[in-house]
Amino acid sequence: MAIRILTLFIILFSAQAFAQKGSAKKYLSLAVKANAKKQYSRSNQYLSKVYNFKSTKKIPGQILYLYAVNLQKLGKHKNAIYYFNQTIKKRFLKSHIKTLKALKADEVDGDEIPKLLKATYFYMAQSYYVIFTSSEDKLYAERAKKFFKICDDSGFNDRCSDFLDNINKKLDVMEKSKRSFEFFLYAGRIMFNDRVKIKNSTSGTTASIISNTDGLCYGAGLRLQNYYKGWQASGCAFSGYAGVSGEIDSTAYKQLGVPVAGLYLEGGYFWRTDNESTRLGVSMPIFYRSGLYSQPSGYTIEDTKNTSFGIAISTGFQLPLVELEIKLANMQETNMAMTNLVLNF
Amino acid sequence: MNNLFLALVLLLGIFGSRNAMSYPQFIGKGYHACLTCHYNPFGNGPLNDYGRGVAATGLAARFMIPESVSDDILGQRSSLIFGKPDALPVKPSIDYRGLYIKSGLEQEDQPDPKWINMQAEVSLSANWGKRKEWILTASYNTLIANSGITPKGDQPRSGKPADKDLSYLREYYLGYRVNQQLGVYLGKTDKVFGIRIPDHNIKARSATRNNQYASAPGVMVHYGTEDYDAGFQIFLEDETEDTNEKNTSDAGSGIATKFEYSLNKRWRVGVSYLNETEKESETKYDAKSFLTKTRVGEGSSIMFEYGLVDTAIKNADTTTAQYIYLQSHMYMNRGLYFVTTYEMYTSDTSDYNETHNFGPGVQWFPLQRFEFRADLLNSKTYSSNGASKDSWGFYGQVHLWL
Repeated sequence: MAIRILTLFIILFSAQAFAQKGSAKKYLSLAVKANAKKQYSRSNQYLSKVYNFKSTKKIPGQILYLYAVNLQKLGKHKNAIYYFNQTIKKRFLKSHIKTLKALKADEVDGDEIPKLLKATYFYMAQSYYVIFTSSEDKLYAERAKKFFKICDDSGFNDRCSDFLDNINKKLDVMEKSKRSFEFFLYAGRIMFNDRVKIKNSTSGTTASIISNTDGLCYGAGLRLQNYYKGWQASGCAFSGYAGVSGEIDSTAYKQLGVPVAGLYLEGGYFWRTDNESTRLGVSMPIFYRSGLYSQPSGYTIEDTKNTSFGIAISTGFQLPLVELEIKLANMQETNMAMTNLVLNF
Repeated sequence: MNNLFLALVLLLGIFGSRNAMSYPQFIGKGYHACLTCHYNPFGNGPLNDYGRGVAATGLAARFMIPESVSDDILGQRSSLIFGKPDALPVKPSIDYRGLYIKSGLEQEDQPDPKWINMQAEVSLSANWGKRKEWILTASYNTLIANSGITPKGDQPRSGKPADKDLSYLREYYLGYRVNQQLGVYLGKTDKVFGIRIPDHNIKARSATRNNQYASAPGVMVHYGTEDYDAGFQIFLEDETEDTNEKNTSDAGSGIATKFEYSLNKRWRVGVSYLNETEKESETKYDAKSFLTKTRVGEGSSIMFEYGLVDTAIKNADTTTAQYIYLQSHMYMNRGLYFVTTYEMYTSDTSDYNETHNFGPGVQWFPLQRFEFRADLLNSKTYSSNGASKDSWGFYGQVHLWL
């Protein structure tokens, strides 16, 4: 529809303004026809035979418009924008200023904007839109939004509101894709099940005994993240008490209240599956544990200090003030579960 | 019996029907009160027409459904035949839940996996009157003999009688909504206690005498507004049933109450109290809990319940059990949730004997009428007896409703 308006204007304009010059009339007519046939490059070639587009001073606004439209169709959006601006400057300056004022006051009236100016806005907005989508430069997005808004408010083209929606969505995605660092502190309960070895000092026989530890872990970490996903590294120091029991040489071994301390370090990746409020993570932890196990006479406890590594999954839910995190890890012979409260900064 | 059941399943499947998929986790979708979707104001049992529509259009995924079929159409199809909810005066429904259990994953010599038919239920509901103020519902559950079977298919479920169907009226009641806020229900219903989650094996249900067999006849009063729900129930022992057959402790009589208040649009807190006396064993149970449910993000939720259960047996000391239930449902995609469960239980707070269960899982509603769930459960025990090895189990669940 815009093209039809354009063509009509150009033809009328050509007939009136260039009737005196036969060759110019011919080329302009050919330019219009080429444009209608989507031969945009050729259309501009015809126009260039009549005008020198390096200097726009003497070129009528309508010609600049046609030239700009051709450039836009050829994908030369920055050039197209230049000539659209020249069109406005040459032909619609007063109307343009009036329209911008109306836009600011949210009182755009389509009847008061010349049709060719509306078409200029529409095409110019599309050029800004294309540049924005390829460059992700917000400046172009704002300009595109301005002209699409005029287009939408003036009822020039139904697609303008769709373009506006797309720009807003893309801006939203851009904003959410921005990465930033987030520091956090956490504290929680750590419970793990692992093994220590008991050895008969005389015979050398060994047996594996189970150790269940319940303690508290205090830690901190850093996330590099955006709205959707991110990387995380964290660590905590824990202390607690373990109960151990097992059997060696047909004799039961049991000890409660064994002081245990250690470190839990991890690095991993996470997804925010339900906006920023949730976090589902996978990480690779390294776990160090040291326990003060008492050694019965004639026996020694091995593996009082142990390092293990494995895989962990965690879920996080942002509540008011704090985040609730549940973490499960399997690290060789250590099964660990943590419930943490996380303070994000 | 089996043929009759099968015929009923087919018949109701053809005619379309009601369903039963609406969990308290859906506070994550903004649904605070059970009455929005269920006839029973405290949940479970058949869904009302609105609940059926919500399940189809907002909760279940659209697996294999072409885009040309809109959510509106799905909503219409969720109702009775030809998309006319009122086509039949009585609305039938069928629920089936089967559970695959593979326990002892930590053991070298692992026990055989089991398939348990947990629920095979037929329900009929009617809702009539000028304001639809009358509600009548009956749900009949039949667990076919040897339904808890080994792969060989020749063993009954643990504790269940062999070659005998376990059939019983799980729920039946006549309800009357005096007005929008107040309703009175007479009949057999689940007890009004705690967060009514479908995981009946969780201690918050099983240790508070609210397991899958615990529904009891009595009178229930519900008063609810947009901001809160309050319920009071007087229940009696169901003399008509041989509860031992269900491998559960004998039912008793008593009272149960619950009060839930919405702090805001995302957060609900509540308290619950139950007092039950079992005549034969002269045992009194006194359970109280604090509970909260909150919406996180756009579809996720956290549910928490902390409770104490005093058990007083004649001529014996009173013991106090303690439990914590914490379950999160992380919204991944429409119909898909990552579930994390944590529960702590100690049967007697005077002893050091705690069980902590942790479980990641996945819950998927690919379509309306289908639910699949897979949970891995890690169980840790802490006691004065020393240490014991963690146990691991896998639980896969299929839930179909027609």
